Amino acid sequence: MTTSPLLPRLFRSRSLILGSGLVVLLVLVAIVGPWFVAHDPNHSDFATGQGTFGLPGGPNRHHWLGTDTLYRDLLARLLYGARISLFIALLATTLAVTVGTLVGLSAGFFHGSRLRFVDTWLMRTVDAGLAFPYLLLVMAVGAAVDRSDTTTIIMVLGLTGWLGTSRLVRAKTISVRQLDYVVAARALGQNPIIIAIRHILPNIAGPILVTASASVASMILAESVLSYLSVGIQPPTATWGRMLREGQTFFTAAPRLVAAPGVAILLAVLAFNLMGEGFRDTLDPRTR
Amino acid sequence: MTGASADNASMKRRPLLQVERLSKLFAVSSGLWGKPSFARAVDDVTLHVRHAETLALVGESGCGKTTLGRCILRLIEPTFGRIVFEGKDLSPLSQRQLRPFRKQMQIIFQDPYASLNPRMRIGDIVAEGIRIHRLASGSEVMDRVVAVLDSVGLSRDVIMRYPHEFSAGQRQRVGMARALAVEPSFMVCDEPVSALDVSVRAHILNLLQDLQEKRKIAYLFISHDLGVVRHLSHRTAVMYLGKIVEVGPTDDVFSGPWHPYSRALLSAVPVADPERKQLRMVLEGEVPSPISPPSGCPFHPRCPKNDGVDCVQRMPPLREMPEGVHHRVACWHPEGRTM
Repeated sequence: MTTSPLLPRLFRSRSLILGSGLVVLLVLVAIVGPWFVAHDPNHSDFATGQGTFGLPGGPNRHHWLGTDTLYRDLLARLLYGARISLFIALLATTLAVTVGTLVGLSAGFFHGSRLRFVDTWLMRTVDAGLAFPYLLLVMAVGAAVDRSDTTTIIMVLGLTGWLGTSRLVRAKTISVRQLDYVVAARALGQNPIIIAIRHILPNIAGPILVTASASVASMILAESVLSYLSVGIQPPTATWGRMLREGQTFFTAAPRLVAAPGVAILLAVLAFNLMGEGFRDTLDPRTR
Repeated sequence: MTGASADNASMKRRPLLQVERLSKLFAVSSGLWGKPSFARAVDDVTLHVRHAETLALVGESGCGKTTLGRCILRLIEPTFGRIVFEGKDLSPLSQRQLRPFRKQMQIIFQDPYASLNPRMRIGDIVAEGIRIHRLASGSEVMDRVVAVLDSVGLSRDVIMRYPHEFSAGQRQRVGMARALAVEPSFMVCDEPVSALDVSVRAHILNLLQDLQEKRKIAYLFISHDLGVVRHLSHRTAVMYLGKIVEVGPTDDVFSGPWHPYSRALLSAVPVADPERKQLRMVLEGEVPSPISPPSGCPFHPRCPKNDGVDCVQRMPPLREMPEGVHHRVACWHPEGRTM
C-alpha cells in the first residue's frame, strides 16, 4: 500500500483539480450569481424582452442571454435555477449517502453473524429496488407522492438514491471487517458500534466519497428529469430541468432556450463526475 | 501445609487454559438447492496450556491452526467443545459476558500491514485496550502506553505517528504493545514472525521470550517454521487436517516423534550440517479436503504404516506413549525410533 501524505497526492490528479475547480465555480455562481443580475427570474419583461413576431427576445443589452417564452430573463433563470438544482442535488446526495452508508454498514456488519437475516433482508430489499431503472423508480415514486415542494423532491431523490451506495458500503465493510486490526479490536472486547465507527468507517470513507461525487451528478440529472416531466419543482420556480422542458417547444426558433440549461447540466454532471474520478484515482491506487 | 498454599499449589497444577473436544465446522454452500456440506476446520481438539509456557502448534497451511487459535479466543464461534480459562468455562458466555476475560487473552498477528488500523495513531492503537477495560484514566493512559511501548523497544515519540511510517518489524512491535497493554496472561501468537525478514525475526522472537519471562505470559505459538518452534516452545502439538496427531514436550517430539506425519514433517527441517546424512521422508499425495476427510485416521491415505483395517475404519485416540512424559500420539502404529 502506498501511503504517502494525502494532500500532495490529491493535487497530482488532473481530473480532481479540474473537477473540483468546476464544482467550486458552479457553487460560487449558484450562491453569488443571482446578486449580480438585475432581473427577477419570474418577471416577464414585455418592454425589452420581446423579439420579432412575439418570439422570445434574443440576447441584448438588457437581457444578456435573451428571454424565454414568457419574456423572463434567461440568465437570471439559469442562475436561480443553479441554486435550486445544486441545492437539491447536494442535499439529496447527503441523504442518500447517509442512508446507504447506514444500511450497508449494518448489512455488512451482520453478514455471516448470528443475525445474518438482517443482512439478507436489507440486501433483498436493495435488489428489488435496483431491479428498476433508477430514473423510472424516481419518476414512479415522484408521481405517486404527488407533492412537489423542495423537501419532497429531496426526500424522493434521497430515499431512492441510496441503493447502490448501500451495496458498495456493504461489500467494503465485509472486506475490511475481516482484516486483522478489526479482529484485534474484537479481541480487546471493543464495542461493535465503536468498531464500526472507528475501525471500519474511516477505512471505507474513500469509496463512499467517490460514489457521493458521482451521485451528485446523477441527482442533478434525476431532478432535471422530474422537472422535465412536470412531477418535480412546480412553475414558475426556475430549475434547469424545467427550463429545458419550457424551451423545447421553441427549439427551432430559439435553440439557446434549450442549450443554456443543457450546457449547465452537462457542466455540472461533468464536474462532479470528474471530481469523483479524481478521488477514486488518488484514494484507491489499485484502480489507477 | 496451610490451606492457602495448598490452594496456590493446586492453582499451579491446574492449566491456565483447557480446550476440550473443540470442533469448528464451516458450512460450504453447494449451489441453490444442494445440501450444505461442512468443512471440519478444527476436529475434536483437546489440549491445554500451562501458566507461562509456550505451546507450539505446527502443521501445514490450511490444517486449521489459525481457526483453532481464533476459536479459543471466541473470535470465531466454535461449533462444539469447551474452552476453560483459569477454571472458568468460557463457551456458554455471550460476547458481552466475555469482555472481562478479553484483557487476559490476547492475540498477535502474522501480517504487520493488516494488523494496524491505518487511520489511527500508534498511541491510540495501543491505548484502545486500556480505555476499553478502564485500566487507567486521564493522563495515566498515555503513561501506560509509553511504558508498554518501552517494553517492546519503541520510544515515546512514536505515539503521534501513523502505522505507514513504520517498518514491518516496528509494526509487529506495535501489535505486540497493543496486546500487552491490557496485561494478558495468555496470548495467541499467529505466525508472528513468518512475514518478517530473518534479521528482524530474531529480535521479535527474543522479545517474545523476554516478555514471557518478565510477565509470565503463556503463548499458543502457531507456526509452520519448525526451527523457530524448537527454539522457543516448551511443548509442541502437531496438527493434521483439523486434528491434533501428536503432542508432547518439544525436545521429545523433535528428537523422537511417534506419529508418521510428525516424522515426515520433522524430516523436512533442513539441517545446517553438510556432513550429516538426512533421511528425508517424502509423503505421497495431497492433503485431503476437510470437506470430505478420509475415514478413520485422516492421515491413512498418505501413511506408510497404513494397515488397511484399523487405520481406515477408526480414528485412533490420543494415547500416552511409554517413553517420555506427557507425550501423546494419535496413531494405531506409533513408531518410537529416534530420528
